[in-house]
Amino acid sequence: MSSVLGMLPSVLMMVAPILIAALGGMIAERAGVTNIGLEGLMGVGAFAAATSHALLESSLPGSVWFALLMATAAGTLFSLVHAFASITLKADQTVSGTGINLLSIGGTVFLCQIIFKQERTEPYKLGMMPGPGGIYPTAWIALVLLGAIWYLLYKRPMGLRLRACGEHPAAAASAGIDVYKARYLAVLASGALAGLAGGCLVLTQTIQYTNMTINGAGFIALAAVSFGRWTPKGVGGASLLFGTAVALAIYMVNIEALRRLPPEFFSVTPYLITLVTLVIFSGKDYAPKAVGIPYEKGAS
Amino acid sequence: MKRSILAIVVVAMAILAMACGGKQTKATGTTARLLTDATGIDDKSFNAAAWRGILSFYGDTWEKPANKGKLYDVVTAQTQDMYIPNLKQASDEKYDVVIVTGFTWADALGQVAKQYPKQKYMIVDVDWVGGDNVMQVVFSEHEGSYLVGVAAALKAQADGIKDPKFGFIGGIPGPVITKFEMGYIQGIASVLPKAKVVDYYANDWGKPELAKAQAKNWFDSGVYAIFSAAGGTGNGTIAQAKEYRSQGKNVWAIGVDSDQFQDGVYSADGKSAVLTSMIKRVETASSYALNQAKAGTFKGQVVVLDSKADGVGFSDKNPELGADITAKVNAAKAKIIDGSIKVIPTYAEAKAAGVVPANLQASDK
Repeated sequence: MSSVLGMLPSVLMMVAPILIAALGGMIAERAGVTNIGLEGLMGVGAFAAATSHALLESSLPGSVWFALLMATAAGTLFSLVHAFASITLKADQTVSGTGINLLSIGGTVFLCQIIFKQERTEPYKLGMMPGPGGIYPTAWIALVLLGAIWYLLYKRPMGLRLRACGEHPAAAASAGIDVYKARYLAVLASGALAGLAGGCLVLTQTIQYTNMTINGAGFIALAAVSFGRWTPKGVGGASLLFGTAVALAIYMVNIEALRRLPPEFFSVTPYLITLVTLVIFSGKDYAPKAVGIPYEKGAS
Repeated sequence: MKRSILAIVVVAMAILAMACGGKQTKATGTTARLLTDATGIDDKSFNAAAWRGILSFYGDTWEKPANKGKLYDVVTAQTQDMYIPNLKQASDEKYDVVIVTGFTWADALGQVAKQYPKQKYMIVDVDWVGGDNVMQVVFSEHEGSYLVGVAAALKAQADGIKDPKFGFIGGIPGPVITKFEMGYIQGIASVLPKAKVVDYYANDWGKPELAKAQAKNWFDSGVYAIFSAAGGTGNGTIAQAKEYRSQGKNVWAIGVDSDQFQDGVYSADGKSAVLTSMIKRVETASSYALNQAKAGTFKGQVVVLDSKADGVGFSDKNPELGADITAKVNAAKAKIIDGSIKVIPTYAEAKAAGVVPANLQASDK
């Protein structure tokens, strides 16, 4: 069978969407808003990308890139619901995020019914094609975003302000920071990134959007946020570890000596590796202090 | 207090209205109701096929279901807790045959069928519900899979591939998926006895990325065709085959259940990366049950729809398969029908007979 190195494009294909969505989740949480809705936002993005690509593929050159744009826009728009509920209305962030997830599945399938008269989008002819080395451009998108977000969060004043809103919003407000605005921006950014991630996922991994397309990738991204200790470096490492573990499990199936093991073993491996790493690297609580708590102007 | 009385009255009236609504007069003839899971009849798969079978029995078409509402109708259960209520309602309304698709209905049907011993039911893909009033239809998937295995091997031979390998990707291991794998391998071996077959179970029906990564891995290492019996996971195989074929590599995906030719189209001139598909005709099941009911021969039994009953087959829609190979595969089909080729459905027996490798991940349990 082919070499382990040959799996690299597959690893990056799986890592890219998880990493992009996790970066979004990290931004929201650093500003103090949990975004359980990553899964749903990815679904909306995947639906938008698959729909526009299936419809425009034959008439618009570079329709893949337009599709990613649509995915980003759809994710941003949909995350407004979460921002409004959890920031303006001070609703429970977990409930609002769960709502996003439920609404996403129902809403996208409903739109598929209207547009395509079936439960899923039409299959497109070709998704995103791999570049040099068989690596999909989504990997480079993820890498650029990782660098850019690290720079914005740690090297720019706006990043400092955003992080302050997640640690001690009242103190941030007393320093003249508009907490609502910062949190809104963070949630919309997480929506944009999750939508983009969904678009990347659907265009590189499958042939159409169905209600099963995301299938937990958003929750894995969410786990990568806390596993990565809410830092870009950590989130990048966590996503890469998980993607590699999945690819390794796929690769191991082809090794003759390991074939006596039951197939379930290979499916459990990535989660097992993640869990073990989590235990090894566990320590103090790294979560932003005010994450998940709605900010009330003037209170305390 | 007043308000609660009002609420009770309203609810009672609503129930009454619904009960009356159910007692509409029916036209004479065999009546049927299809109960589906949440995906409904336009899932392009199981439910759609069951619905087509009903339509064809009544001489209707998908676009013009003229007798719908008079002789037959469909109710979609949005959640699984609606299965039993939907079954009971259909039984109370005394349809001649109540048709349900898929094994998720098995437990609910097992309960309700006992309470309505006079009501006729039909279920697909299940053989463990039992009862004198339940017709259970299962398919000989191994026979259809044998045919796609033959087709893939013949195509590799025709293309002059040296030492071709073949892949099988399954969803969650179990006796039904094992039938697919066993048939496929025996089909390949009937043409190329020395060909190596690799297999992989994704343990999931909805993770195309796993199938895509494995398909890339296998295609890179000389696998010529991959048959996926893995639901949505199999889309990953098709995605990878499309990508590679569009780049000029000679590799194929093989579709499952319905004809996936269209899913595999990768070029503007309509070329498809899906060489053939193993077709399981669920429509045959529903029309079979209705015909039995009409003739008064409906029995609570396990009905096996095999190649002979036209329950399973293969797709010859891809022109690149060619008339020559199609004819040869049809010849193999004829031999299965007349009994001169026997396809072994279980891993234990196939292993004992020495027709499949001993280190597969298939499971008979």
